[in-house]
Amino acid sequence: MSVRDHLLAAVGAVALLVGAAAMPALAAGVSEQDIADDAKTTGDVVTYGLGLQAQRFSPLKTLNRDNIKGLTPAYSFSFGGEKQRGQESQALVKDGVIYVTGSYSRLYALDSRTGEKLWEYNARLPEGILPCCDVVNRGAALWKDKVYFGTLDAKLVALDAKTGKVVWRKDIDDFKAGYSYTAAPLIVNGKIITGVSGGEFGVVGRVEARDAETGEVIWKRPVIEGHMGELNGKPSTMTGKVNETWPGDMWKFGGGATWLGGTYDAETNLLYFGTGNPGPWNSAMRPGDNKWSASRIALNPENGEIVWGFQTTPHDGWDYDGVNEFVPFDMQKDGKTVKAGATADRNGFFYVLDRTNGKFISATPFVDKISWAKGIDKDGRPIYDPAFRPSDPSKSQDGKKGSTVFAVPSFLGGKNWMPMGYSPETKLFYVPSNEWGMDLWNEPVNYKKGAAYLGAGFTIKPVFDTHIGSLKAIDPTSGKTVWEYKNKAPLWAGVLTTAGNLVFTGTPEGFLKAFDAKTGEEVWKFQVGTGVVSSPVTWEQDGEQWVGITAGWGGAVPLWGGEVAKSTAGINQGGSFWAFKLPKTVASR
Amino acid sequence: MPSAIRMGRSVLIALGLILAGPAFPRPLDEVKAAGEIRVALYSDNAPFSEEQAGRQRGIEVDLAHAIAEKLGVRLNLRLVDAGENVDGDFRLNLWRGDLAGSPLADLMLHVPHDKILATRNEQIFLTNPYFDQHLAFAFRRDKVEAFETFGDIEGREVAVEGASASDMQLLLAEGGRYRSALKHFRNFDEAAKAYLAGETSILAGTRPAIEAALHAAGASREDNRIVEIALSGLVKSRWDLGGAVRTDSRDLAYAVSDALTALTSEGRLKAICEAHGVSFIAPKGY
Repeated sequence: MSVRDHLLAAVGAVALLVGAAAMPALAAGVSEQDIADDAKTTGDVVTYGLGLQAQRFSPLKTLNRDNIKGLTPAYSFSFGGEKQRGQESQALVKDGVIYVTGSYSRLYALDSRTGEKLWEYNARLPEGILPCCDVVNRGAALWKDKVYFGTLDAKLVALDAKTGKVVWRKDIDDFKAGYSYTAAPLIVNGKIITGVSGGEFGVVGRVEARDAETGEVIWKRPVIEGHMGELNGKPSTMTGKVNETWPGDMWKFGGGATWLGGTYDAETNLLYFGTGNPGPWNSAMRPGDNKWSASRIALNPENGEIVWGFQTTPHDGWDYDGVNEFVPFDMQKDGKTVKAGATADRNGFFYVLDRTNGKFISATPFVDKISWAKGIDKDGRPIYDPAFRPSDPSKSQDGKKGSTVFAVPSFLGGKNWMPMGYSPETKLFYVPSNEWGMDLWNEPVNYKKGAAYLGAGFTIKPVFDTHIGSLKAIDPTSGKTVWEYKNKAPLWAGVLTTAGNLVFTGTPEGFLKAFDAKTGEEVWKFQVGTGVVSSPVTWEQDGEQWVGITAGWGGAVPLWGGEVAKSTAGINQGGSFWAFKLPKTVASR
Repeated sequence: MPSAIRMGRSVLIALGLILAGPAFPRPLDEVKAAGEIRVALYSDNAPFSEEQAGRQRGIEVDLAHAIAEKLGVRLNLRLVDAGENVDGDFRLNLWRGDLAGSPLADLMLHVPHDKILATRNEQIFLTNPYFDQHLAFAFRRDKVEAFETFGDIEGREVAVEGASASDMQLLLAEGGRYRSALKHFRNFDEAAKAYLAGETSILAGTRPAIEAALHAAGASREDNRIVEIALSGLVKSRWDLGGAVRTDSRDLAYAVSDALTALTSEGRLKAICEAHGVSFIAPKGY
């Protein structure tokens, strides 16, 4: 127990001001070493993903399937106000403080032992802001004495971690042009790395690095071919070659938004980012692979150069965003250690790549009844099934909407944004997935700003009568599903796994659940009173293991209606952070 | 979450979200009692509505004033950014409101008069249409001898707003033969500037936007011809424009429709259009 812990314990509930005043002298903030070691250290969570590799694995073993019945709620903190909606935030914990973001671009600092609020930052959002989906935020980043997060109006904010006062605030881009920001930023070697969100015409995905101290841009890397990168304020190199995989000048407005952020591997010194779908939506308008949309790219964090790229859905026609996280891990195969990385793509395939060079190792379906592709060939390219690609609108026979295809997965993906976990103990990936498809057609009755345009019409449909959500334990060496937990409503929460042989995730029905990591047996659940669509964390404090989760129903699922909405009807909104602990007395029993 | 398909999403369901205190759209008697009608128009939608240096101008700005005058009330005009699609704009401006809790409008103009659109948005009700919108091209006579079919695009460049109806027609025409002839711009204004500067010999867009751009630049209609070329396929090349109110304010829609009929028959709508350099095209059947 640190000196400050004693201090806080001694002065108790009236200590807020005293504690805050004492902190500057006693707390050192978050060092580069703290960030680099986050996956190993159990007393804190200083990165999104419990380590920059984002394996979401904690070496804590105190809590296990035998004693988890003693896991007890310690407090629930309400985000307050009327601004509920989806809460997708992963909390951070450092030196007795929880940093957790809320919907509508809010950030809270709480006493990690009592749940009392230390400060709150409420971004003032401009009138007329029109985010496309929900007003979520996925989490903050810590570095030195600052805490960082992005806001819906596409700004990056650095706050004093002790007071919540603004240190600097920078525009990532213009929200009026359709840009936004909802991901948790990544901090690597003193640089804060972000992508962009945005779906308007003209948005081109890019990755950017800024000096974490000042917020000044160091490099920019557009992800679509033909665009010039930037380093230290000067043009650097072009991404790809003009017109290699795009017709005409369509690369200028090619899409590829990097809206989910990235991961980092110190061993290879590479950043890994995913890129969104290309535009316009109907692939008949843009022949070619359309690089690097719907891809994973590896970048050098020093200069933003693309070291390798791998396109999961070349020439995407189904809105299979390629943004899902790429998780580095070491794979034992045929007696050798392979420096691998894995990603569970929207398109329904679980990919394993060589993380040093992007070379394809394997791809296997992780959801049932994939229709758009018959499989993935030996080079990692999809074997398309033309019967399931939406038709060329110019070939419409009747001048109406043309044929409807039933594509599986739906555009919400075999897996959406919610991060998977990897346990180096069980050597399994835990993938929160959904079994759903979509009827998809060209919809001529579409208007934007009062003018006609050719949109996509779609209806999302469950593949099974019994469930949509499916948490799967996947063996990356074989692609085989070792166990599966089925959930009636779609899963939309991240995963946490621990050395105590546990896997945690949340459900829209309002439960935080724990499973045996080897067998999938459900060993614990707790009802938080609203849907869970966030990522759990665990940490050790005063010799006890704690678990934390943000609660609040929302995200993209309730926006789309149809059959899917039936499985989530009646779920109430909320906005809170729950903390649980295993009391020492129970753990020692 | 960015997505081409999600942008094309046609039906957004109600979330049951209660916003803090937006002013709700009102039926006719309440509008009259308040002595004011709140009208929402698109910002950045020349020549129909735009804000320039804090000044609201355009055909529909003038039309909104004339409607308020006919109803005998003041005009409270708000220019709003366009959302993902018109369905979303109904939600934001007429029945649910935006994230900031801005007041809702009683009436929206520049709404496509489309039965299918109205049917799938049960929260709104359409007025009569007032304008027949067409896709068209302008071409420079010194560079293009004749422009009668899509084939005449061969060997020339076309300036066009990306992801617009004109763009989609051109991208799909004849199996994409003219794709590489297209120069895409973020909005019509930039496309028109490129055409007027001689960067391309053809400009694609809606007829009123083309006419207004030529008019504003003082470009001769003799040297810059406007044509409409029919193209089969899924992209609409014409649609009517009208107004929309919330479904429980139908009497307001009827009163606005009466005002529109009067303004059309008096020739005022035509005069308003012409003041902005645009030919008035009456909707068919009205």
